[in-house]
Amino acid sequence: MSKDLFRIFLLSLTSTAMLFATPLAAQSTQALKSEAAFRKLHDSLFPAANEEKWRQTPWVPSIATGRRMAQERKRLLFLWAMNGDPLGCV
Amino acid sequence: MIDFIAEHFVPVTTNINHSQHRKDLEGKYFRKIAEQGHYAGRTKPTATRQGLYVATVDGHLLASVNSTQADEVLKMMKQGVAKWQQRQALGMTGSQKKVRKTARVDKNYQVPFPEGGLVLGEVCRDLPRSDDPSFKNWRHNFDHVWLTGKEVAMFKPVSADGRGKPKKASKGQQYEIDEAVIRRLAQFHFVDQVNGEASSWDESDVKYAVLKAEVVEVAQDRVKIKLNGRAKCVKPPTGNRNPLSGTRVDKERGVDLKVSGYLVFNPKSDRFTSFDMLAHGQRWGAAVYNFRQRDMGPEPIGFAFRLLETKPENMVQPKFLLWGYFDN
Repeated sequence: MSKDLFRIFLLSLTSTAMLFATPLAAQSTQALKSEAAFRKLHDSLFPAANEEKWRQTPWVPSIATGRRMAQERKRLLFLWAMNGDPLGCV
Repeated sequence: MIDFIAEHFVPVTTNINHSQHRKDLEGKYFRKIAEQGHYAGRTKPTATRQGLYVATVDGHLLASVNSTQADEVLKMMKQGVAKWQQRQALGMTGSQKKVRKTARVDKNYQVPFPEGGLVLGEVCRDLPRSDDPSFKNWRHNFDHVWLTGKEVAMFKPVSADGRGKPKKASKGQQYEIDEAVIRRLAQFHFVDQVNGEASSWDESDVKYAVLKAEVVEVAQDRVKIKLNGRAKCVKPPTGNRNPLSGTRVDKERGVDLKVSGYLVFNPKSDRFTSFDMLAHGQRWGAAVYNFRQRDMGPEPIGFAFRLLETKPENMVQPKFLLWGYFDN
């Protein structure tokens, strides 16, 4: 490996390490220069497992379907009604 | 609570912006139970019927509450079940009339999923703030993006007939995503809904929106595409007043975002197997219902997107589907 190539190699290692070390706050308004930086920010926006517990309930996004199911199963309806469907944007 | 729901109920979600007004059985049922509940008859400050309801199949309300507190909701559910058990003990099981499988549906609220389209899950969330390390960004909101078959084709690096794009993808190949697609995404999905509701941008609010694609990897059944673009939307002051707080939000609001993404396309199946996209940057201002009056910014925000399977819970309509979503 030539000296110049070695410098480029070292620089790329340094910049990759810096990207991994860059706090999300610093990335908030910067362009994302690598896929790793993209993944880090992209994944941080999706809810963590502990924020998704409510999805363990098998919500039915239709009153008509829910009523038919409740009749078949002899159950009550538990209806979550919001401005916007709770499974989408509320 | 999850176990209690599973034991006693069929859990259902509904969008009251539709179900309060639908002229079909779904709307009729919702109005019947809501008008026995906590907001029955209310018209001021709003006519909302938001909340949680326990009801029988034939529309007899047993309990209801509008609360985000788990203990209050559980208490209400237990009251509902207790009342149901009392009714059963008295032989009051309600109407046995079979719920119809096929009933007339109010077409004003039904928009079919576009043929050949795909659905993306969206999350919007504030980003950490460098000037305030104590800032917590746990609040977030969801939406779904519906792309039409024609729009999906614009993201593909190839075209079957070789028109405009080659038949086979090659590394380094670059192409622009039609401006109408990214403008539509900006207008309806780059909207700050983190704390509460905001209206979509008007077409004229989208100051610019551009998106370019580049093929970065090519294998036999896997083509990786990188997206890069920008979008800016600005809405002038509306002067509208929040009926709950009485405050008037009379400043402009906007977003100025960088758009990036990595997609994986399978040329053999002619399908995307991954569709990760991100729009991040600054937001400022407030809308009537998005609770930003004390957080006018500019502050960082992010919108993340990923491919979802087309199963019922993922097919909940995009928030602005009935407001010109496919008009342009």
